[in-house]
Amino acid sequence: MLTVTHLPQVLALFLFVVGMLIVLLRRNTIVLLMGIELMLNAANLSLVAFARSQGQLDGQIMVFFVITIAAAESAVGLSILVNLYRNFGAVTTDRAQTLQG
Amino acid sequence: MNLTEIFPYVPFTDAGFQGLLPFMALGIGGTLALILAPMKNGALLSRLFALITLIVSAICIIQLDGTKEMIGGVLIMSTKTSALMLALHMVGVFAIFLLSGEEKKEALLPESNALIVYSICGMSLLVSSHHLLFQFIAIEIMSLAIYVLVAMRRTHRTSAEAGMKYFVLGGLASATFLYGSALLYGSTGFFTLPEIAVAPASFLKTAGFCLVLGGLLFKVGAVPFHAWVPDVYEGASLPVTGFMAAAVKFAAFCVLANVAAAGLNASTSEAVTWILTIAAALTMAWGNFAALTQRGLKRLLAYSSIAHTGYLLVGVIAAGEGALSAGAPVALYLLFYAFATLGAFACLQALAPGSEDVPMDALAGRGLTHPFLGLGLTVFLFGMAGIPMTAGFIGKYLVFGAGVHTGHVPLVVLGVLTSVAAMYYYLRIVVTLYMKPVEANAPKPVLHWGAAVVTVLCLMTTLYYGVAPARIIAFFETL
Repeated sequence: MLTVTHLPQVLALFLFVVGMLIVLLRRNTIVLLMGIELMLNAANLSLVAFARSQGQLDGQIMVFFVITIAAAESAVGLSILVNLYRNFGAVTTDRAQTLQG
Repeated sequence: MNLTEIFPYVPFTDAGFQGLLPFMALGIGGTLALILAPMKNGALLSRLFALITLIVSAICIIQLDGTKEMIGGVLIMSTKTSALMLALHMVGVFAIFLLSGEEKKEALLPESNALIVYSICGMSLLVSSHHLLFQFIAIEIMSLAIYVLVAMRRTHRTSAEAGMKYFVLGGLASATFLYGSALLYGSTGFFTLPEIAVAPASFLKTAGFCLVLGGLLFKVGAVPFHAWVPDVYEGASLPVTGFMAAAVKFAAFCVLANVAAAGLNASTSEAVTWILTIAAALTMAWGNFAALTQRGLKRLLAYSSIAHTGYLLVGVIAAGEGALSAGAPVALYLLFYAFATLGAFACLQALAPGSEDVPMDALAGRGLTHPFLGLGLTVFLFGMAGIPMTAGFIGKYLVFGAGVHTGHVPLVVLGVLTSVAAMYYYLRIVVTLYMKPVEANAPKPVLHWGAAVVTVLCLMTTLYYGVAPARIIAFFETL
């Protein structure tokens, strides 16, 4: 049965799915970066809630590492994005299509 | 409740400190190489520092004796992880040699040497950790450096696009891996793989394993998560592509083998077996099939690398199900494949006319005008194809042997059949090398000393281990 303790998990799953849909469906690369952040934060929320329900601390501490990594990742992502804009004059994925999977 | 009960990662002891030395050396040395890079003579200085760092760190690894556990058992340094880390360091040294010749031609910045060191640091952490979140951190340390290396050629449109694609899809895979580890933690209460493996089954645990494996299958470039591989290989410069094909695949497969072994031993084994089997079959079939029609050599080698992922997945399944001397076939295959790939990219670097993808015609007749490059490329392609007398054959033989041993005969049959199909596109390159006339206004190949050193060393190892593999097999089987 779904109880109050499950609510953070449901929210985390919702955020994760929304983030994944953003990454898969949107065309603007800035929005794609936001989607990845959303997915990472969904995992963070899930970790904190699980750590709380199990009475452990390690899940919560690990979240700090993940937040640090996420910050580094968006720094690298934005610099790659600037590079993309310089080369293509746009940040949308349909303008940057010289390679074909 | 005391601290170690709720947070079991106690600060490291003196013995553990010794085990952390290689990572500290890599971190500090990489940063020094980064600081020196913008100076006058920066290219030379940073290359020198990166090489010294890798050698110092390798010496620290060799100095370790016995198994060491650090940070409460999160990092484990044993003979096995030491051997894997040393192999990665060697690939890093080779990559720096390859970069030295391409910096001008490919508009690479000297900082790329430091990035190689950082990514080797991440890979070394990755192969020595059994803790899911530390593996996540290690994957990110490795990948963030690689994203930048791919997007490094700032004036190339393909490079910018490849970097962005790799970053977005890589971020998606990392986030999937992280969410999967959160679910595994929630269902079992542990982050460490051995404990997760023995915990009771639940729906959450199965879902967690599926997500974690999905993220890792992306990193190794397995079908259906392979779409980034050809684009990224085409967009990145040749030395970076060689480094990715050899080292990133090596490290990602080591962690995939660990996770898969935990999943296959656990009560979730049915779902994990299905995922890996389907991925292996699709990867072998599609990788080889798509490679048949490629015109550019970088894209061809990208699809060939996807196909090798498929063969390796067979080995991963066999190792996870406890074939004889688990893990040895996969590690040896990865090592031999790394030598063949690095060598092939070293030869291509000399033969490539410009900085875009290398067309097949650029090789026409070069086997006769430049016998050394021709011989090298031929041997490396034979190694990838798995022709006897090369190390690639031994690797393939061991992996398929382990597959048969655990009863995955259909997968092995598919593997052998697709290997035969793969002969076509490898031999097509060799035929172009030797049997087509040189194009009239083709630019002359320029062999840089760095690429020459890598070619010679890879040639020697590929041939030596193809003829006399007994000792290295025995060494890996005792690990």
